[in-house]
Amino acid sequence: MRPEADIPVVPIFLNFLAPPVPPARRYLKVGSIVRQIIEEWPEDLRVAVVCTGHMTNGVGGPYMLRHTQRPESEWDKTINDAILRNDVDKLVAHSSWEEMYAQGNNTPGFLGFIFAYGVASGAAYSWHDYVPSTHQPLMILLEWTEDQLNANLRKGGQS
Amino acid sequence: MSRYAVNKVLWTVARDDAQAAIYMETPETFLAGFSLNEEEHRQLLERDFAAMFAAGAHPFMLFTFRIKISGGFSFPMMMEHVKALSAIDPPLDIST
Repeated sequence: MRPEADIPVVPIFLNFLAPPVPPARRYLKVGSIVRQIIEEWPEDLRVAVVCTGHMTNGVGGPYMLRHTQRPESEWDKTINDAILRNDVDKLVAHSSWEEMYAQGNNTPGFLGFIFAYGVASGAAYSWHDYVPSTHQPLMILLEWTEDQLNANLRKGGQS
Repeated sequence: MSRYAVNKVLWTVARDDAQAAIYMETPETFLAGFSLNEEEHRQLLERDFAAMFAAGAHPFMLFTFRIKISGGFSFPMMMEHVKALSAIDPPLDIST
């Protein structure tokens, strides 16, 4: 991630694509556990969590070029709508293997976002970009800033 | 059905230059080293991508294999691949 190799990196590998894939709520749980580990770490470190994830796409299969005809699906729209409202329950509800896989064989990679929502532990995102395009599969990017993530902590609320 | 063996051929060719060269030059010799049934042997010999996909070959491996034996990725090759697979009812099955 950094050619300088000047920042310690802890890789975490999550299976999104090789069945049996656990239910989405488990990815949310793993995210919240990672958050807890960071919060409880004895050293006062500044930690960033970076993860990959994506929307509808299919690799190697008949849906590989679908975005050139249809940049976004109804599933993409449903998911983006839930993201805009920070409706995590709805995101989880639409992230079953069957529903995602029907969108194209690589779509279950969205579970990376579910993991991120677990890390955020309820905090709303700070920045969002959603780019349907005929040039490449739909891109979506989310960022939670330090302030946004820690707002609940400062208020003494749950994290 | 030995989907594992088919995937193994696809993976072996895709990841290993030396093995890929053997497959390209003497496919019969290469395929003899795998436990394939007659139909699978034919599919791999004739590079029948659609039939392999329909029979459950892993789409990632099938495409990686095709990139390898095509001498690298190209957009026309990808278009052709998608066209071939689109002609069949997609099983969309990558379960192991």
